[in-house]
Amino acid sequence: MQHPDGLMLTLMLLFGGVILLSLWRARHKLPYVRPIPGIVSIEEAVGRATELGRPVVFAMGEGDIRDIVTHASLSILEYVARLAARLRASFIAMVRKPDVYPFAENIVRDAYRVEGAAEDFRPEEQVRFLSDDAIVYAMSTARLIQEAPAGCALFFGGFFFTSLLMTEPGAQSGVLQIAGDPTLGQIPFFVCTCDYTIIGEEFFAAGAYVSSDPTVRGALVGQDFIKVVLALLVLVGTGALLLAGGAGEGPAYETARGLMKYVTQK
Amino acid sequence: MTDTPVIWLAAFVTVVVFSYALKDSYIYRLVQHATLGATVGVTVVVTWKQVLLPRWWAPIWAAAQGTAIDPATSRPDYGGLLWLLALIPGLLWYFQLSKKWFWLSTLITGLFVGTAAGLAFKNQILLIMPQLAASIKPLNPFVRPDPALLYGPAWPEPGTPAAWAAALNNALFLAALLATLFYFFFSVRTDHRFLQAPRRFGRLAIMVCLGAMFGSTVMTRMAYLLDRLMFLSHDWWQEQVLVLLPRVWGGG
Repeated sequence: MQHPDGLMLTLMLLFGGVILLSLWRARHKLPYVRPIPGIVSIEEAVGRATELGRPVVFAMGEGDIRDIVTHASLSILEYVARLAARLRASFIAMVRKPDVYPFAENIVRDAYRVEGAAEDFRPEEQVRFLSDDAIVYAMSTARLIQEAPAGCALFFGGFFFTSLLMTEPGAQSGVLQIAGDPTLGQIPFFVCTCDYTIIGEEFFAAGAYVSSDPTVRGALVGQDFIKVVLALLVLVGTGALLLAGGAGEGPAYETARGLMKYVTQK
Repeated sequence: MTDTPVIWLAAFVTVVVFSYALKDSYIYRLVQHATLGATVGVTVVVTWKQVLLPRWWAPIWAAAQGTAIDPATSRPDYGGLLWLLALIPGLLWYFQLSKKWFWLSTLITGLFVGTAAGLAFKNQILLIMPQLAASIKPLNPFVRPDPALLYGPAWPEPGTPAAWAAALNNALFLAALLATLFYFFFSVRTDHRFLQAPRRFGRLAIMVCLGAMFGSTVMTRMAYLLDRLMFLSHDWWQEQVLVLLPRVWGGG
């Protein structure tokens, strides 16, 4: 079993403390979150689909329920489902993993209930799971987008080699598409085929931007502070390395060595 | 020649899939739906044969039959029957279908979410720390750093152009890293004119990175394409079509 050492434990406690402090502060004043163009455009996309009388298709990523990215996707799913329910737009959520399916169904059901449209929710049509296979998921989603045809298509989560397979037919049909993926590998393909792309950390910030929940926004502020701490650690380490040079002794050398041992241990 | 029908089928499917580059067609859709159906069927069989049958059903069946033997005591081992308990959390998922007993499913979903949160926290720390340490790079071209403090290739001879190039490379890396981190700050206003430059540089660094990744991935896809073209030209055209044509036209 792995146990944290001094620096690791200190950082874990510091990061945990920062998040808790940010949550506490957010309860008193809702923090500011800067607009993210891809997220701002979701409302426009759903509105356009409503005007066209076409369905809004939301495709979850390929992670399972233990993946934190999936949870961020679910918060965006809730936002889009509520928007669609409010505008009485047709809404279809495609789910890749079986263990995510019940969560997605609950979230969409709740979204419809909160928006006073519970009677419009049809789980068997609106939340779909076909197979655990990545290619089947990608092809069935692409076919749905093309044949429905979708008014807009949203792809949120971690996608792998299937990103282009999913988005290309929609791009050819002129469907307004928005994609978000926290890992960078597939982002270039989304940039080529989607109208808006949410990249990297923007993906996690998206949930906070669409939510006025102090907990979610507070967590985002905490994450920003953690980034400051990490940037400072890199600067301190680089400075220590610069000062230590090839000396092999002294506080600067020990500081640099303490930070570097995490690499040499891996 | 037992592979002949498989090769012809594979060649047909490959050509049909390639035809999508020109136009969507009925045959393409037919192939697509056939693939979907076949994959779903295969997934069910694979799940049963590779997971449920050997890891769950076989131990239960062996214990129930009394054929499972404990190697320590050489007596029948009925421990495999404990796998029946796995049915309880497994079946809890199905209470999603009942309005009355829906709350039972929240027990298992809650367990999954709690596990996910705990694992994510630990994994993020374990992911970030090595990246953090790998981001600490030497900047002084006149000093050879202690190898124990270095991650990556050996540092060049101090004072040489190679050392200058390495130091410049590292300085650029550090600037790009900090600017990219700054780009992803969401809870502060970044529209101040002094903050625009690092934000733009961060965006530029991200775009360069994405461009490099795009090129790399396209190269990988090209390798897949070449593999398919090789299959069509060699396995199908040369070994099937060119062998079959003389027999058909030549009467052989």
